[in-house]
Amino acid sequence: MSTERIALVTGADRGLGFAIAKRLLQEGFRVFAGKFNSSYTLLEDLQKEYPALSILELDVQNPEHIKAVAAELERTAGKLDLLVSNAAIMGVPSERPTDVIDGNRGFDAELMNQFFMTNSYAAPLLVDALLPLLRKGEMKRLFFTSSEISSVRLMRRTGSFRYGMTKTALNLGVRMIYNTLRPEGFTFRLYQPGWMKRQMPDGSLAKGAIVDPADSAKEAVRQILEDRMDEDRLVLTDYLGRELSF
Amino acid sequence: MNKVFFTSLQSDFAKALAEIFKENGFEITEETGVNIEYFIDTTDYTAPGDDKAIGEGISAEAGLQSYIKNVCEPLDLLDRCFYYMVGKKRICFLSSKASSISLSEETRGFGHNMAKAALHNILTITKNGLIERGFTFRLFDPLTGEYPPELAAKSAYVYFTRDRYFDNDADKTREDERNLLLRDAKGREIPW
Repeated sequence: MSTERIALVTGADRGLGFAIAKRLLQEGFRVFAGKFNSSYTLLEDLQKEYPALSILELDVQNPEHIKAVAAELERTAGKLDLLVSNAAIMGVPSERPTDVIDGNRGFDAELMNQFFMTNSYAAPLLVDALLPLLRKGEMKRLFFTSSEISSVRLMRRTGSFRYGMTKTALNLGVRMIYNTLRPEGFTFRLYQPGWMKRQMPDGSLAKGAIVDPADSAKEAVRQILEDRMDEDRLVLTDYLGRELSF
Repeated sequence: MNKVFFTSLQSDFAKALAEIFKENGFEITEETGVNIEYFIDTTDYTAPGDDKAIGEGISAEAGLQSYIKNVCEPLDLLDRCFYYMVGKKRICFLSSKASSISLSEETRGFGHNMAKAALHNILTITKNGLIERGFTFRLFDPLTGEYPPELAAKSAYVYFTRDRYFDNDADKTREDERNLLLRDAKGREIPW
């Protein structure tokens, strides 16, 4: 089997996912990048510079897409060393209801479901579908993009609950995956990337927020590549290398 | 007579808890649109097929159904009950150690357990927003399957109805209500 290291990065159209994919290419990985948003062409531009980049259509809410990606990886790579599960929905137009319980808004069930399936449940679906390939990989490393607002202990918000609650659910899902796969030698990274600047279709960064996606990706990839002294603790770490409580 | 709203009275735990409330002078209701002092969500639903471990074929549909039943439907009921909450305005939900990121040893039931973990977050956010308006919150693990439901119900009744104060606070301010905890039927705090 090839000694080439193979990575799959979901939500790689822009922002952190794009920056991690680029960083992994610079580290010599062959990268399969999940693309969801057709209005972004940053990956296509990157592919011109890095032929080791393959772009795959991947809406992580769609089990058929996940199956197709697993089949493509089986066909073209035969293994998977590293999964970067990064795809997420963050915000929606402010007029949409269901972001606070106050007796007035009503519940937008479809939106609640979309957030859960994308931000939380896609993680076990992906690992489940990719497990035969991950077992053939040498790294056996699983990376999940979480968030500071997944931390119940640190929570200070009074609204905007969809994102935070689905990231807490993600953390629990990762714990359950860990319970099964850690005994097989898999290692885990749960990462809080910081409040990142939004990346526009032309690659520029919007104003506001504090963290450049490239800087956060640099730290994320450092944590991905470095072994830890204690891999038998599942921890949530941030873009400054600090451990956060759950 | 003060009323207690139950989202469901199907489980042995829910039935036993309702009986204890009745013995203590409360009226039980499953209807929205009436004044209630307690909102108690007793949902504990695992969808058919939501019992697979990683590598056994995780079901998207089963996971979503568990989430809808354990999170979306109870929160929708809570939203509809919101303006009818009076007195202690106490909001009580069930969860368990299985949904503790720190302690869970579970490998099956992704949808169910992840849904309950999501509740920990949203109830904290909701508590942050509503505590100043007099709402109070409880999260409880009845230790289903390992502790008699009648005893769990007795423990829940005390936990749900007793106010939490600073021990030495003569003024009995409700400051300690600001700390949302998950406690089990044996009184142990379960970390997030």
